Amino acid sequence: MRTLSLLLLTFLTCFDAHSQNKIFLSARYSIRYTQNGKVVLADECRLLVTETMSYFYSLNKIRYRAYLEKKLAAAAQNGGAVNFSAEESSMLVNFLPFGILKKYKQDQSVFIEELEDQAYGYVKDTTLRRHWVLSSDTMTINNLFCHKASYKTKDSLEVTAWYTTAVAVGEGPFSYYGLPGLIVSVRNNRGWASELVGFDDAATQKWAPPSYLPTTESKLAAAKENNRRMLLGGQTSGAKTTLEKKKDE
Amino acid sequence: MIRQGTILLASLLLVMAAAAQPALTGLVRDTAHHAVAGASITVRTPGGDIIAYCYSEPDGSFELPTFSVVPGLALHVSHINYEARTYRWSELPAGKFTVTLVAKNISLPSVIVRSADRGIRQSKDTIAYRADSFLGRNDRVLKDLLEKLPGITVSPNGQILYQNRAINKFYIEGSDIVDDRYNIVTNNLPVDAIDKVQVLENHQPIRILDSLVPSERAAINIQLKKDRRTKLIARGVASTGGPPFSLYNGQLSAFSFGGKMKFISALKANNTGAPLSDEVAELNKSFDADALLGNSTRQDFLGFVSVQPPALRKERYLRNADILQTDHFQVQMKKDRQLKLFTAFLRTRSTLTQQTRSVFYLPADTLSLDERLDNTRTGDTYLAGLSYVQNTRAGYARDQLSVAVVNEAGNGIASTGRDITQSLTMPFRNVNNSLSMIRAAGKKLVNLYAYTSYTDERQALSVDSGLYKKIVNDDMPYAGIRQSFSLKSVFHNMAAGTFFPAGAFRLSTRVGLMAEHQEVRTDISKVDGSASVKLGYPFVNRSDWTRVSPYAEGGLLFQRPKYNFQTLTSINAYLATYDTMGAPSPVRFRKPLVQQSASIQYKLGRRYSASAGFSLVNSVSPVIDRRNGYFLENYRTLVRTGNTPLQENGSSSYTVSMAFKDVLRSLFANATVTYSRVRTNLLFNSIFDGLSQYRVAEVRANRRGIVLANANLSKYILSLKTSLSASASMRVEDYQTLQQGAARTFRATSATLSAKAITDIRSRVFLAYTGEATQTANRARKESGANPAQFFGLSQQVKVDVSLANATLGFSIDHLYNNSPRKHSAAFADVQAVYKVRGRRIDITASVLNVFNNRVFVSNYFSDNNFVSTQFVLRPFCVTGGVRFNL
Repeated sequence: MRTLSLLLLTFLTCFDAHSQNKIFLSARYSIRYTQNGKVVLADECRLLVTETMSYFYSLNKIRYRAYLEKKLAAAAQNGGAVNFSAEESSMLVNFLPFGILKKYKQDQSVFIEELEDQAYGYVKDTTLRRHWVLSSDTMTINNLFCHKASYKTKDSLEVTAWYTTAVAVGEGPFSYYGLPGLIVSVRNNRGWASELVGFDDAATQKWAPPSYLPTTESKLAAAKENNRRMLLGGQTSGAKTTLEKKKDE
Repeated sequence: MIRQGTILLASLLLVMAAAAQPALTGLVRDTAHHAVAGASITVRTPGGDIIAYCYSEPDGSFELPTFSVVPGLALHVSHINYEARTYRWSELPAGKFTVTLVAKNISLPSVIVRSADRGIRQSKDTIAYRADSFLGRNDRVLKDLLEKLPGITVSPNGQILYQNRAINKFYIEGSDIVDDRYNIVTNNLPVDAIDKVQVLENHQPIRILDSLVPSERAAINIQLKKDRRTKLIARGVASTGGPPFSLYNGQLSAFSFGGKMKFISALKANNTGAPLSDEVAELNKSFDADALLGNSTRQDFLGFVSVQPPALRKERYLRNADILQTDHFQVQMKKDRQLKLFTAFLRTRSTLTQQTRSVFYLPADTLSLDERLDNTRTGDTYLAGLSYVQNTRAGYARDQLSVAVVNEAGNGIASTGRDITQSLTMPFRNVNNSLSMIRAAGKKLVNLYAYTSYTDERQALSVDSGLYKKIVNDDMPYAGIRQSFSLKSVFHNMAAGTFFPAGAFRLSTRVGLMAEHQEVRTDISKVDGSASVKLGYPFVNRSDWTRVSPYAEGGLLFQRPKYNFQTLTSINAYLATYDTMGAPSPVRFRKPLVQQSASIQYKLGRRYSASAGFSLVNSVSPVIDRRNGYFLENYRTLVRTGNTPLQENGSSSYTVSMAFKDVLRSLFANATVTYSRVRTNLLFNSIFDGLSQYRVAEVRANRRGIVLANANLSKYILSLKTSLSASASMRVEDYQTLQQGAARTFRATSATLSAKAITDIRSRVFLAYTGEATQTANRARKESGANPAQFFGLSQQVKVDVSLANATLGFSIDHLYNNSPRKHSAAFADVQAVYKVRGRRIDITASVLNVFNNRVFVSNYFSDNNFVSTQFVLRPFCVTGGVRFNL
């Protein structure tokens, strides 16, 4: 089944051509996802901005992966099994599972997620533009003088952002984009929040965007579900099976 | 016809669109003529607000969206790799506009993250303190939290000050439920229900005036935790101790802020030296001119000899027995309309025992008087208030009816070789109603105001000693004297005015009428055995006073984003007629009185603000201050104003102040200098005969000048949970006296330096230090060296609490010292143990108070040119235990 899923995705594969870009901004953000008053995800992410695109990704994921690999290597060397404490188990999932690549020319944001050793990307937003409503409210956040902006969508999503014109880059965490300056703090009414915590001295460094297999969100979800079942020892047959199974439940 | 109409409408729309469509197109390129993509192009108002923006495309082109043009706009073009450029909108060329940017090295601003859990945030004029960031393990009620917040201080009577100015409103979840009787909340609301404390700077409580009339004062809003907003919040305390069970303290308070009806109720009783009258005190009363003019606050015209309270906690020296029941209800009617009801019953009993030495530095002599004072006062107070409030952006209406009934009495013994027994009765009744309305009428605002107050106040003092026998009984001995006093007063003030905003200017006018009628009756009776004989003139006084004062006010306010200037002039025709005993015929007093004030406030950036102002006030003291005939104020002070003219006062005051705040660094500071001068036409001559004092008014120029300077600094170190504050103040006062017939000019100076530090080390060890040093000097200016009236005083407190698991053990040491002529040093120690049950909800407490078992404390101070040294009898060593809980 795993092979089937991979074949299905490979059918759509075309490698995204990419070249090296000069970074002119590297910023770090703390992110939080809160559900019913409880913080279920707290991570530190990096935003890299080049002239043609930006990439927002988890730093904790990289750190945790290094930790995991070190532990696996140690276990392999000693010939023992790998055991995770409850704390380690929660640590291993406490990060933003996807990266967000914003492509300015294409005017779209691509969510990139890894499954096994392969990265898959799907277009989440076909436009980066939001109908931001600028406000005259101001606030100093982390030493930066910020202006307020917000937008609402028809499906009652409400987003409030604070941006600084001291950094003239219309970028921000997640897929937020298009304000007169860098977003310093943003939160929505669905529990996501992020705040700028610092800049990295990465200017003028070269950076290559991550390569990924293009797919769709639903197909990736199906593949993830198949993969989960396969790990659990069950049988799967793609997205249809998943939907049917959900209905049964 | 329809077609023509459509074309006409379309043409009109096109013309309108053209007028509101200064959209700009252009090109951004660098000095090498290469297109610059991603440059941010913003249009900003003079105040810095962004009203339109866009980004340059890959080919460098840009097109701004439409927006309305206002004067002073600027076009700002910036890119992280290039120097930013700014153009005035009025200077932009017509047609396509090309911007050339010069490359630069990327420089990013510094990001300072204090903590992921920041304690203080500022958004425009609102500063929010997150309660969890400041709370310590031993904090129980809102007051404990407020005392730690930088920029906020809580004065001993409970008044909250922000940047050293009293707040003008106290809200809970945006509701003004308690008006300015907010001690009931600060002393009882459990801290675990509080999410944030918000300071609303420059708060204008009347919404229709918001952004039209600036305010220098701030308001406080308490935000509750989400899960507590709709639930009943309660707190209870029960403790006893003594010598067995002679002490008690019971408290039960309940708060409900959910739903349409909100309420706050409290039932309290104690005899531990914590008076409950503060819980219902109106803390903004001093700002209410009508309440003062209308005598709606009780004044003590008669009383026992009293001294300033010592710099000790009242629990150490006051013996009381107080009961308080108070309720506040607020019913939300329609949106922004509330009906509020307040009731309170307070029963008080307080006993003070003190041994006082008063030293009178007279021109040719220095006399001293020793007396032991045992005073007990009891009283029942009933307060009620009903108010209707409508406060919207469209209009404001408020009517408040208040009733106060006070039945107070007292017994005192003054021993000066022999015991002199005194008794006092002081019933007081007041009903007042205040109505205020503001409505928009076209571009103008129209306001109406009416205040009416009726007061009935009767006081009587009986002294079983025949003092002043030369004056009262032709130098023949007699047994006792009784002074009675009654005041009936009706006061009415009504006014109507307009408020006209015109651009940055606001013009206000108001005309009104004040009317007042007072009947003052005073009698002195000579008591011999069971017989009481009322004495005739000049021991009796009947004053009927009627005043009508039409007045007109004009004000001008000029308001800009960074500063505002306002001035107010008021002319008052003071037309009074009074008939008093001793005067040959009714006296008519006619005089125009002028009051003028001006002030300027300036915001120097986001951190600094400054203000300066002056006020000139001409006034006439009310007739109750001018009791023609003899009047016994206390057993040893007999006053006679005589048939002197009314006391006219002219005062001027000049103030400069500056405030600084850096919210990010939790640092607040302020400094104020005030100079005020008062000039009156009466001066009292004090004649002291070794025991009793006789004061008589003389017509002569009487001047008083005061310079007051103070500076305050407060800082919170979030990472260390440490609050630091320091303040310095200095007061210099020049005044005149007439003593034994000789005129003297005095200068009194005092300088105070105080510091406070509170820290919570890992929520395990709590340390607090409070220290205050005062240097006081008081001397006749031309007789320097003749008067040894200066001394240094020091007051310190150290508190240490150590927490282990659910138990906390606390120690506190108070140290007080002064090097006055009656030098005194004292140290007090207390120990407290708290055991927490079910987290923060229930505490079991045990305390040992006055561990060193100090029996007396000596407090010293100067009052005018008298040195007063008082030895207070203290509550001895005692042990208490109890329980307290939060719901």
